[in-house]
Amino acid sequence: MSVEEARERLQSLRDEALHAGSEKAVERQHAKGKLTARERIDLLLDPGSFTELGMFTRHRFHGFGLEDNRPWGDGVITGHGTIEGRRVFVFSQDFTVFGGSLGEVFAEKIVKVMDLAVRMGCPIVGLNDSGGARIQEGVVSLGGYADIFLRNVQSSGVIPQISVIMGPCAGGAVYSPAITDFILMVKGTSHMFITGPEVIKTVTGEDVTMEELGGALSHATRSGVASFACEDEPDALETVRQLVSYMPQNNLELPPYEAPSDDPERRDPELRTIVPDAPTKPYDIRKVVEHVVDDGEFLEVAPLYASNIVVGFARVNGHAVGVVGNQPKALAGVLDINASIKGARFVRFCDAFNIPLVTLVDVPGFLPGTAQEYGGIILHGAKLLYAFAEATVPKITVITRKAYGGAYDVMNSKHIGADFNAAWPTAEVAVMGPDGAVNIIFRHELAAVAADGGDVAERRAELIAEYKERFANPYTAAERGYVDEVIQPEDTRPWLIAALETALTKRVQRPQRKHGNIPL
Amino acid sequence: MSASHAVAGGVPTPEEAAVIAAAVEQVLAEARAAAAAGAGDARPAPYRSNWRRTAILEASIAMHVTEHSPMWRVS
Repeated sequence: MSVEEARERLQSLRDEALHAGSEKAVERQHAKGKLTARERIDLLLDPGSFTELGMFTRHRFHGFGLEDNRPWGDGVITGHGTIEGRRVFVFSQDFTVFGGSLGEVFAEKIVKVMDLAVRMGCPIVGLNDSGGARIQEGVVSLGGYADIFLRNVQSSGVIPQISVIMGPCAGGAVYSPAITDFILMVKGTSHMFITGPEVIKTVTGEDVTMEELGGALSHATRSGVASFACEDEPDALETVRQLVSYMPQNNLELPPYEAPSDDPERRDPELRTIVPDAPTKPYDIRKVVEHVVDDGEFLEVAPLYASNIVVGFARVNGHAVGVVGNQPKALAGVLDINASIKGARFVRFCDAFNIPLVTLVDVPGFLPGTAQEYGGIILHGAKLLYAFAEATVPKITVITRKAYGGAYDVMNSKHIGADFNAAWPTAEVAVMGPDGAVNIIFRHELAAVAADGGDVAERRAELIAEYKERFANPYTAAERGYVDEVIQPEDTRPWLIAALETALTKRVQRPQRKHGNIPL
Repeated sequence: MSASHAVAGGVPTPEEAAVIAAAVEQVLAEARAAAAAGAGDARPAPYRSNWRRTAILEASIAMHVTEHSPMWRVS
């Protein structure tokens, strides 16, 4: 074979590999509103930055006629490229080849890029669109999944791992995305479940559609599995690019700094009126976030799940931060099981990747009720406490209104390691709200008033007013140094920047241990 | 200094040597100052802080993987 013939052969093989899926399969993919594996990579990465690895891999399996069908790439495209100039590794499952099913070689390709990603200290993004295990290959497929799971676990907290679900992801396959840091799903075309509707019908008799069971909205609102429910595939891939912009490449690097265009001394007068006069009236904590952070840009994570706590990424004078805030607009901002889990997982991600934490507190306590108690609020609430206490990144807290009871301690209080904290003049740092406190502290006095035929309501109102004057303010806590400063709301941005930039060089040493035992 | 080590143009006088040494010191001082100010790095000083870098290293725990050890195993 001449050199020219060899060159032509390579080009011909490349063309075959680039079109491994049949035209019909590609048409079917497009008809479902889905992109092909390569089209997805093109949208995810900077133009022209993708370098493919393993284009000419093929399965080695003999049996069931598979030996006669050995497409290049074996149904998954792997490699690396850049997002805003920063290197990431990628695998993109190709539903047009064997339905994206996972066999031995398919798994080997994913394992290879996972190993490379962690060796080079780069994030990995998995684009999932797979019919599951390649049944013909039997137990080898299961072994392939386990090889991937092991690497997901070993990479956890070392490099950011992001999963995008862009088609089916069922059975054991779900556990790889589940271990990763963020799961993005696409409305209408992606599904995740352990067992599908037919099996559920057979086993439990329940009727449920695929969308209800494992669609993007189900997992974004009910289970909390999906951090983002995206409108379409381009939206999902753009969200990945935004997410990555807040993350360092690995756990030994700092998150990217972006020179700010927003004035660090900006004092936003709208902050003065966000907290209503009535202590029980709700407001949107996201408005506080938007008025304080750079350019009002806030990438909220899991906005549809446990909306009584708000978590997400923003920048403060150019520094990437993770924001955690109670949301008075939903369940009065109370902490419940779901909010605790959502908050804890986010805090741990930020801590693992050196992203400072900014906590906004307006919390009336933990949600009462048998459903919460039997559901294990004790253990789940402890997760959030544990996560905040364990975190060694810079931790800044601003109390906007209520900080009651145990929830005050949990929400990144000074006692569990906040480096700097401030309270607005509207803050109430107390064991509980005035009404409840008066009912307990003065129950004998109120009973006596009632027995004497006195005006219980009037006396109660007086006692509540006294309690508010004495305890429902930030100054009792400030007297003891539990809050460093009481600030005007409009001063929050300059105060936060000064606090954060001071804490950036924080150094904390913890006793050596294998790992803590977070109440899972 | 022996004749074989003499520089072209002759051996500097003590005064000339002092001027050369001062010039070298000035160049080095300028380089140190530029490095401290983050020349070529537009990020704020904490992004070049050895203290912060050390804090991150201290906070990372060596992984003790003994089975199926992948090639990137830390310890």
